[in-house]
Amino acid sequence: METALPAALNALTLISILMLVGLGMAIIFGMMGVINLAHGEFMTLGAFTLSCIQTLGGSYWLGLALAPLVGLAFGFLIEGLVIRHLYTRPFETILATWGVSLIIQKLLEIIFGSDMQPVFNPFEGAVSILGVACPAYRLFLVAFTGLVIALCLLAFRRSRFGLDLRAVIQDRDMAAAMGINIRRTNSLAFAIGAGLAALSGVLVAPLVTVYAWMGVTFLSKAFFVVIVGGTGTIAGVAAGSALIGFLETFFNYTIHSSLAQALVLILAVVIFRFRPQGLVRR
Amino acid sequence: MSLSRAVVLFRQGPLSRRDGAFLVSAAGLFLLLLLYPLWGDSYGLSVMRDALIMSVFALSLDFMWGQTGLLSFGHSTFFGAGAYTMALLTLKAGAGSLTALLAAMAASAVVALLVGYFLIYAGVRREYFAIVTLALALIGQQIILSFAELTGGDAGLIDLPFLSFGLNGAKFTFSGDKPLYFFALGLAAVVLLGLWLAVRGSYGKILRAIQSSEQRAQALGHNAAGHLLIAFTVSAALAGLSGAIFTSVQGIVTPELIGPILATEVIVWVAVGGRGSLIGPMIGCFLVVRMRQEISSVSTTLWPLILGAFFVLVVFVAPGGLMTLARWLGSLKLPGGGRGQGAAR
Amino acid sequence: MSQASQALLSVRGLEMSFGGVRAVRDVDLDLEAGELLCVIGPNGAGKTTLLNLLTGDLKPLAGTITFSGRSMVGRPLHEYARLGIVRKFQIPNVFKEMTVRENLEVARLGVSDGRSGEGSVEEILELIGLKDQAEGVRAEELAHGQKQWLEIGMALMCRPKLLLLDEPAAGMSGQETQKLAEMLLGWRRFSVIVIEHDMKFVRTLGSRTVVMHQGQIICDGDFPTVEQDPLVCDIYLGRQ
Repeated sequence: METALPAALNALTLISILMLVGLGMAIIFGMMGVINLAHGEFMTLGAFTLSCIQTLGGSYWLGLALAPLVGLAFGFLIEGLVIRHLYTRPFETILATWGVSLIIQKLLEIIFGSDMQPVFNPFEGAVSILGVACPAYRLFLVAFTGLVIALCLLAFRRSRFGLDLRAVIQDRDMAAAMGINIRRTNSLAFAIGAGLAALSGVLVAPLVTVYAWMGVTFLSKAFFVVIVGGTGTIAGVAAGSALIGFLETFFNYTIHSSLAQALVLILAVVIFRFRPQGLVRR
Repeated sequence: MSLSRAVVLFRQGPLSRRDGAFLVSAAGLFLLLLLYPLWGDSYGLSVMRDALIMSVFALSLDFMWGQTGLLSFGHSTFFGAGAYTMALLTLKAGAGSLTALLAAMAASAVVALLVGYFLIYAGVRREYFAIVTLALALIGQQIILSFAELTGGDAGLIDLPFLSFGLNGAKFTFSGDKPLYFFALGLAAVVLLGLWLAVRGSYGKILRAIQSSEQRAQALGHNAAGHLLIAFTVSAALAGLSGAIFTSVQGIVTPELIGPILATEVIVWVAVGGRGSLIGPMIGCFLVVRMRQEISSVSTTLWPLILGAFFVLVVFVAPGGLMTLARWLGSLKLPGGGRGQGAAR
Repeated sequence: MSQASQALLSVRGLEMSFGGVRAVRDVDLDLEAGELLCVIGPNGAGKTTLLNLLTGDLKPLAGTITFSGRSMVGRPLHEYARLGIVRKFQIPNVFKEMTVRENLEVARLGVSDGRSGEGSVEEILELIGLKDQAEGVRAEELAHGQKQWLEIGMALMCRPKLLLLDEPAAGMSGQETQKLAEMLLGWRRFSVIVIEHDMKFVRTLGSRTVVMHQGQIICDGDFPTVEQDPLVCDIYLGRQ
């Protein structure tokens, strides 16, 4: 119990982060078939936003509120400049977004330097659960993420935009024939994906080292989440996040941490081999 | 594969116009490279030497990407695996150069075989394949960084032994500007020639057919997945070879050799030079490496920025790279000859 | 059952469903070496599904397929051509960026181990009428009908024991259809199964015909007999 509870909390934390990043990627990847290698950078931008604000004296909560907006803005920008022109060329999208990713990383480095950016945890200290000390921040993170996911689900199911999105995922041509503005839906979806990634960046910032190329590690994790979990459904992202998050936490405790990553990769590849459509069918 | 089958696949036919163009440009290039030591200084020689070894890396990627269409986005995994295997075996285990080289190639090949088997036989292609191989490079770099006691971590390992090969008791050690330069030149020439001979015949046709329509090729009796796996493994082994030699020649191995930046650069070399042309990527490598040098001397942060911009540009402006330009020039006279083989996409 | 051991192709109890719809129902079929068979039936009768099962593109839910004494179910795709089962696709599926000659060469490389002579490419080119286009023309530049011929040529290069043609006459002119019919009737070295909609073409062939309807074989005999069969007429009433 001494280690089990914190370990479980760690797993939940990772799963939560993966869900947010993965959700953004699932929308972009699952819906538009766009492979956005710059997705990690949206996360980085979120974390940097927090750092900037806190350095300027602002509160964590201001950062939390602003970061998704920053993500949204960059999402719109990149979609309009780059992605929009490459919808029928998924492969070229990889190359182009990788280029964008490098550019963003380096620009951040030029502006802010390559050192770690300072970020302050709003909830220092621990809460006692069942006699075990659990970091308060992680509890907050898990709870907050749950709230966000619930809101997303609600929006997905109930809103007009959610309906449009689902229609486009199902059948693009049909959706266009029914009068749905594909261009605008795409643009908005991409931006929302970016916003979610930025949000995950803010949330994870107090827990990791924030520097210009922190996004890259989460990028590959997010892809595995989406590939393993299956694209197109929130349940799929949840399944993928749960699996990847759990596995990585488990391996982190038992073996060397980067071997953990390698093992997760291998397992993801093996799963993919035997179940290419993902764990949760569309 | 029986001997008669191998003969069929690799039998050399008469030279076509396209072959002629290749041989002329290759001859020209190597003549220049051969004469370079006459006017190049010590620094220049070492730069060209490194570029030549890197061009072998470029060739390894072009072989796979150009012929089969499958892009390994993290090809530096194999380059780095070869490099670190070589470094560790020669430095810490006292192995001889030849043994270590073979082990380096084997290490890369085994990784490719394992990962490739699961991916290729699951039907993973194009974008998915690219992502997973990218993840491979990222993870490879992380592993190297975490086992710092063994690999030297961030700083890497230095004072690696020179390349030396024994023959009938006599030992040849490659050291010094000129011998190393000519060694690299010879290596590049052999790999270029070997790959060219391998793919200009029937084997290349099969690979390109698989690229064109895998389903169709299978329906005709070709074991597409098998061919792709073999191409991936050979490509990885060659990358490992170039990595091992690069690190021996430099005397130092660092995590950059296994990271995503190098993986990105090699793609740019091949894309700029023209995927599928073999010689184009070599030239692309020289040009881009040169450019990196110039830019890095001004600012080290600037280069990845430009690299990123390069990526975006190549996609929008010149998907075929230099070779599209060359082909366009060539097609002004050649009626359709030179096309019909591995069109860059 | 003693006939089954002599037949080149022997199908028993073949079953295939898609999402609850039985596309192929308990199909039995025997084919001799050198035999020409036409499979006809209305849309959705299961003809293409049957073909896909024979070529290995689909795996049956139940039943056996025996070819030259070997069980075919579950074999990897590329083994089919090597064992002698070759398919011509309905929509021409050629190697677009490669020349006509290269297309044929790739076809030959799939099954040969180097023993067939160079001449066979020339013969096929002559046969399919693409001799002039062999070198400089990429497959994607061919007209639709020419692509069909290239497909046929590629199938022939594989030296099939059983050739499966999926609507070969589609998109061909009357003249070309005639030429194709003559070719099909002339081939006795190997068996051919033709799936067709074009009744005129099938009549010209006048060979053994099998009629499928809703996944089952409802009639099997030579064409004149089948044409008169009351059940078949029922189904085709109003069509053709």
